[in-house]
Amino acid sequence: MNAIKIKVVAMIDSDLWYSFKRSPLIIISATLCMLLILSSIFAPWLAPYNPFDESTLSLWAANLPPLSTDEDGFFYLLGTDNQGRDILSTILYGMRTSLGVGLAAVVFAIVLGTSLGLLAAYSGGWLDNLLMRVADIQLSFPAILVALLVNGIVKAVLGNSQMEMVAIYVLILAIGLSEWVQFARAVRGAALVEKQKEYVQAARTMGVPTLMILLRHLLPNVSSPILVIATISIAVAIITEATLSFLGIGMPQTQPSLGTLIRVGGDYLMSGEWWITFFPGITLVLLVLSFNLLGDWLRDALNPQLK
Amino acid sequence: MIKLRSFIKGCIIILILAISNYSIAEQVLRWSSAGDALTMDPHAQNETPTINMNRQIYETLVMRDVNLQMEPGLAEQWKAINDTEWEFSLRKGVKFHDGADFTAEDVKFSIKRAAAPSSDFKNYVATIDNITIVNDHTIRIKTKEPDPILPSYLTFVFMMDKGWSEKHNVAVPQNYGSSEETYAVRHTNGTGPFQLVERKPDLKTILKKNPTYWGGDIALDKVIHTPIKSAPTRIAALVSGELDFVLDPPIQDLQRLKKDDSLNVVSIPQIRTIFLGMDQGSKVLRSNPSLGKNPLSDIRVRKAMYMALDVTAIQQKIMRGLSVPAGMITAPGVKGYTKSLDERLPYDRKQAKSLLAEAGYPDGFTLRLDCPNNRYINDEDICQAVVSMLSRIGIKATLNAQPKSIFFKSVTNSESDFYLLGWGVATLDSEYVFRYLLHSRSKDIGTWNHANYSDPEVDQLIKDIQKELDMNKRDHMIAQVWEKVRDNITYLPLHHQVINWVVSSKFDIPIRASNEPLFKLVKVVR
Repeated sequence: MNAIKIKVVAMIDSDLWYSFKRSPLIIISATLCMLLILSSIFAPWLAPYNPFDESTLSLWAANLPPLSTDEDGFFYLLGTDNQGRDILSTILYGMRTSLGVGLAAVVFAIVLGTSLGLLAAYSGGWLDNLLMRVADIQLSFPAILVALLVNGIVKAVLGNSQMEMVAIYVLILAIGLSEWVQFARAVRGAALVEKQKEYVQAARTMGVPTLMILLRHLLPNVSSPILVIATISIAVAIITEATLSFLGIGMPQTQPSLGTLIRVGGDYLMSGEWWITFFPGITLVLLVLSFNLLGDWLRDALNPQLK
Repeated sequence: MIKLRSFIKGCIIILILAISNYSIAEQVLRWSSAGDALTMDPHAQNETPTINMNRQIYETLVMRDVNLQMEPGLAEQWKAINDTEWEFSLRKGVKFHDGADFTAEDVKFSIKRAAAPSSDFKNYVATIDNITIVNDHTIRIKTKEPDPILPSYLTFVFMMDKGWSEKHNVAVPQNYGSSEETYAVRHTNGTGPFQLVERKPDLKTILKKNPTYWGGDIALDKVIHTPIKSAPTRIAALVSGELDFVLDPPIQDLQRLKKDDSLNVVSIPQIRTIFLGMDQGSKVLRSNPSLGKNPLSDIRVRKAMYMALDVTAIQQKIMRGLSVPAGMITAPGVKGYTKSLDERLPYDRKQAKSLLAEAGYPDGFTLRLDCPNNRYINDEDICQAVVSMLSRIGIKATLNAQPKSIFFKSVTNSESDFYLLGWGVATLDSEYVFRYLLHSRSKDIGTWNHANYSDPEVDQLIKDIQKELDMNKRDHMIAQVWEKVRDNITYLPLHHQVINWVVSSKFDIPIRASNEPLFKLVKVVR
């Protein structure tokens, strides 16, 4: 087993590395991606100010354009928003929320989708039918609609006042639920093929418990489509989160994501204070674009038929 | 050939359309605001946008003109016969939109309707004891106690046709709270300058002019209201020419709109003051019960909070100069307002901190600030600024900004320790502020006193003010109440709002401090 694993890993590694080296676009987007992720992880150290420490805000520094200095001598590279928060700092913190929600939602979708997919493929019969029909039904709704629905239900159950505290978990749940189908279908497809192979049958004859077969035998062999879908799904999850927040039902203004920042800034677009919405917008585009390019490339690179 | 012929045909059609458009063009005013009237039943909801829409269709005995001065409406004149009785002479020859005559019967019916349990105008007619019809065009209204400002309350009591109401089974107002649907919710029959043509709640309301209006000819043929919730969309529609008038433009856009030659921005100080309320009556903070006591009941804490608020920064940065910092919770133009009472305590963070320490909170405390996010101009931004200003003296407020429908419910249920509120003064008299905000809270008076302020002396003064007919004495008592409120720091005043309307230069809409346009006064400029 171990030998096969090492071999497979080495092969993917070398092939991936080869195609990576040959494409400058991918090098750029991977670098950008890493840069954005690192800067959001290290936001508290990188950001010039802490925009969410209310006691440091001064309303007199509100609505300053990029490259300006306020009365107390503080410098704002990308300007300030309507409460006097530094835009650069809010973007760094906001990207943190966006990425965090995106990643967590995808992890949630992977866990849910993969386990349901494996279960469907392995058990077959009515359970397979049921799970896949549910997936079909959900596929006929746009993801954003599903997310809106989940969000609305939770809001109705919890009430508005508690929403702020749990907003981030609700978003993760909503986006995760809207994306699990893709994982479930891909994993089921791959697992149906693997299931017929001799090593699975051997394991079964030896009396290995079902759960063990699923986790130790099937899962590792169906993981490469998961990786590809996950990369693209992160981009989709980030955009979904931004859309929900832009519509005002995502992250609250006190712990904004990029989408919230764009929405808040949108109110000032007509009055000439373009920087409040422009810079978060650009950041969102770069973030999603780099994830998308990486995902596309990964799909091509891992697809044996394209070689 | 065919091409040329169809080209000429097209030209002719365009020409005809163009000519017809200019020669028999209707004067249509298309306008928008964030929200719609809640109902067309004129007695069901006491809410400014609702009253405003109904005021174009229904009329009152006494009206207020452009400058909010009282003027004769459906009553030509009125006088007090004795301490508790008023006589109103009704206008003759006034007809409802369906052709019925307006008579004393209708007045008696309408006032009774406004006093019904499902009416939202009960407070306005609460002092009325009974109504006697002297003849078809004269009525007498007897009040339970002397009521010097009855005519001013009557500017809110719309007149309906008795016959029409009974015929359509709407002799009592719609019960708005239980979402009742009645004929009067979507149909109207008033005496006013406009009639309702089409009503699609939250989508579109079309009014057309009443050709036989008693008040003379009206310049507009049609008025179309389309509510648009999103402010940028509303402004985009105005700039692109799809609208002629926006009632509530976002103030950050005004600078740019002023530069547009096809638009006019008109402003006037509004009779509405924005302030913060603090529950000083309850034993503990609802939002921080573990503190074990209520810091807001200590006047030093209230004073510290007052002095920590930099209202000039709010005025300059959030309101863009379009507000007037306030020291009292009622605006210029209201009886009882004086410049000296409107003076603010200085903004002084150092003194605020030492006051807080003196009161036993050197490190501040935590509480929740409840705030609407779609009711007053930039309400949520104001609350955010308040939170950051208070945090600089150590008071950590968490902001709970909600749509007005939810916010008002939680405030009326007394679920808030600390909240932002705006108060307009319908009667232009301080008594209106006292009876809602300052009298000790009970079932039918002090109903909005969620500050839980209770001073028996003030209560007695308010009772006396309501009955006093000697205006000098009354003014003196009003001033006494305001001084007490100021010294006690019952509320934290922020600013008086300024109204801004953006109007296409094609129309002249006289602006009113009540934020209620009267479409009968609109002139077409070109």
